[in-house]
Amino acid sequence: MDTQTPATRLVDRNRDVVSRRIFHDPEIYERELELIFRQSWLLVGHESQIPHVGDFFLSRMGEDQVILSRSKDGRANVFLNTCRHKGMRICRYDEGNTKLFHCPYHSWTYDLNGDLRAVPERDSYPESFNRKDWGLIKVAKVASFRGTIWATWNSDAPAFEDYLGDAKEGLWYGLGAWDGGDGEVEVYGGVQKWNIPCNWKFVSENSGGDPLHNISHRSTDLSKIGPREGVGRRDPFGELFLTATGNGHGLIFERVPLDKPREHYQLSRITSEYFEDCWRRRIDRLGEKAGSPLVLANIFPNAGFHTQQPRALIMAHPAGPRACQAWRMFFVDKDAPREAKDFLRSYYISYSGPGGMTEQDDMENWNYASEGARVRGAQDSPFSLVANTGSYADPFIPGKVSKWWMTERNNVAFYHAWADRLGY
Amino acid sequence: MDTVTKQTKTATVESLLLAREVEEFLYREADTIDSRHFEEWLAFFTDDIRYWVPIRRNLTFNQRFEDATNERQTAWIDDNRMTLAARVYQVMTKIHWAEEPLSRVSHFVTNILIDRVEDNERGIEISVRSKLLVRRSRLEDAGEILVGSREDRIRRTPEGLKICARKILIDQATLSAKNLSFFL
Repeated sequence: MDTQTPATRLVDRNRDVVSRRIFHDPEIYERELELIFRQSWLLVGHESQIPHVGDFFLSRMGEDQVILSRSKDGRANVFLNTCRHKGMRICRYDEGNTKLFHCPYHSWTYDLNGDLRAVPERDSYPESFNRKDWGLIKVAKVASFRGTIWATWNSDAPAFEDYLGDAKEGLWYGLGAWDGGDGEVEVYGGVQKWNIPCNWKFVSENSGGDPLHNISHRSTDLSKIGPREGVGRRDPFGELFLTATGNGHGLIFERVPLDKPREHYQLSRITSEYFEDCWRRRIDRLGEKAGSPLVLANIFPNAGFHTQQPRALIMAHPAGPRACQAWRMFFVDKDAPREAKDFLRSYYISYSGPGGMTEQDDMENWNYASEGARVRGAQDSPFSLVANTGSYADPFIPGKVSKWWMTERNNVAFYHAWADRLGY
Repeated sequence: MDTVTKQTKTATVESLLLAREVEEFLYREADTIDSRHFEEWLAFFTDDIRYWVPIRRNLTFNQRFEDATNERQTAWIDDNRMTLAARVYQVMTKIHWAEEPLSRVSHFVTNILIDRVEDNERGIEISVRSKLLVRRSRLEDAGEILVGSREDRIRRTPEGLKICARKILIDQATLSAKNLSFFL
C-alpha cells in the first residue's frame, strides 16, 4: 500500500521525480544492500584477469570483499573473503596465483573452490566436525558473458542472459573485439581503485542514461585530448540513441554512416589502420547493424561500461550512503598490435579515472550533488528526471528508443527498477 | 678532509654544487605549481617528457619491488607533453569544475638523492629521487594529503635544467582522493 504523500514519495512515477532521501538515508541504503546488492547479478571481474588455474583476483560485491579464483576444473569461483572460523580476511593480495588460501589467524586452509581442506590439530576437533560444512561462503551463481564474470547471492536469480534481456546483443558486441567477430578483449593489468564521496547511484546514472551532462565536459573538449588532431575529448561520433531494455538497464548507442571510413585514432598510424581494418570487417560481418554500436551502458544496479572511447569496465561499489569505491578496468582487443595497445592505454587513462581529464569533473559533480541531496531545507524538493524526447521503434536498437541527448528515460527506468526491488 | 671525502665518496665541491642546483630546481618547480603559475610550470619539462604515475598494489613480499603497475599496464596518469599541456589548458578554461575555484595546494619535496649522472646522446641527465608530500584543500572542507616518492630524470639543456622523465609513486593502493585534478 502506498502510504507516501507526493512530497515524500521516493520515486514518483507520475511526475518522474525522485526524492533526495534515496541518496543519503541510511535505512534506504541498508535496504539497497539487502534487496538490490544481495539479489542482483553483479559484475566481479574479467576472464583475462584470471587466465590460469590458481589465478585469483580480489573483487567486491556490494560492501563485501570476494575472491574470484580459477579452480583446477577451469571454472571461475566467487566466495567471500572471510574465514569461517573467526572471520579473518583469508586473502590479503589484490591478485596472484596460489594453490590454497591459508588463513593467517589459525591457519584454516581452503582450496581454489573455497572448500575447507585442512585445519591444524584435526584430532582435537570432534567427530561431528565435517569439513564440508565449513567452506568459504560461495555465491549462488556465477556467469561468464563475453569475457566478463558476474555473480549473484540469489539462487532464484534468472539466468544471466535472461537478466540482460534486450541489453544482451549490444553488450556482446560492446565487450568484444572491434571487428564484431568472436575475437576477445583483455583487461590491462592493474585496477584504478579510489574513494568518491558520493552515492553510488550517481555513477550508475552517469553510465546508463545521462548524456545531458555532456555540457559539464566542455573544458575537456576545449583541451582537445581526443585521439586525433583538433577533436575534443573523443573522435567525432554519430547521433546518440538511448534505450532502457528492462530490469533497470540503460544503454546508449550511436549511429554512424557506413559508407565512409571512421578516421579514428589518427594520432597513431598503427592504431588507426588497425581500427579501420576492423571497421571494414565489422561492416562485412554485420551489415547495416554495424553502424549502431553500443557506446555506454549500465547493467542494473552498478555495472557500467564504456565500450567505444574509452573502453572500460566501471564499478561503483557502495561504501555507505554517502560514499562509493570506484573501480576502473580498461580493455583492448587481444589481437591489436602492441603499439595500438600502448596508444589506447594512454588515451583511456587521460580520459578516465581520477587522473582522467573528463571524469575528474564527473567526480566533482557526483560529490556535491550527493551533498546537495542532504540539504535539510530541500528534502521536500525532489530531483527532476522529466526530460523526455519521446520514443520510437528502431530496426537496430532494441526497446523504446529515444534520440539524441536530451532525455532522461533511461534513468527513469533505472529508478522504477530500483523502487520495484525495494518495494517502494 | 680526505677521510670525509672517502667516507661519503661524493662530497666534492662539484657534487655539492650539483645537489644544491637540483634542490633549487625542484623547489622552484614545486613553488611554481603552488603559486598557480601553471603555464610557467610546463617550462620545467622537456618536449619528450613522460609524466607517469603508476598504481601500487597489495602483493606478496616476493613482489615487493614490483608492486607498481608496469608501463604496459594501467596507471593513474601517463602523460606526454601534449596531454600534460592539455591538463594545464583545461585549468585555464576556467570551467574545469574539479579545479574551479582552484584548489589550494602545497608541495613538500624532501629526501633528495642524486643517484646518477650520465652523458648520453640526449645530453647530460641526472637521476634524482625525492619524497613528496602534497596537501590539497578545496572549497570549505574538502581535501587530502598524499604522500609518495618521485623518480625524476633531469636533463641539462641550453635553457637550463628540465625534467625529461618523472615517475611518481603514491603510497596508496586505493586512492583516498576523489580525483587527481591537481598537479602532483
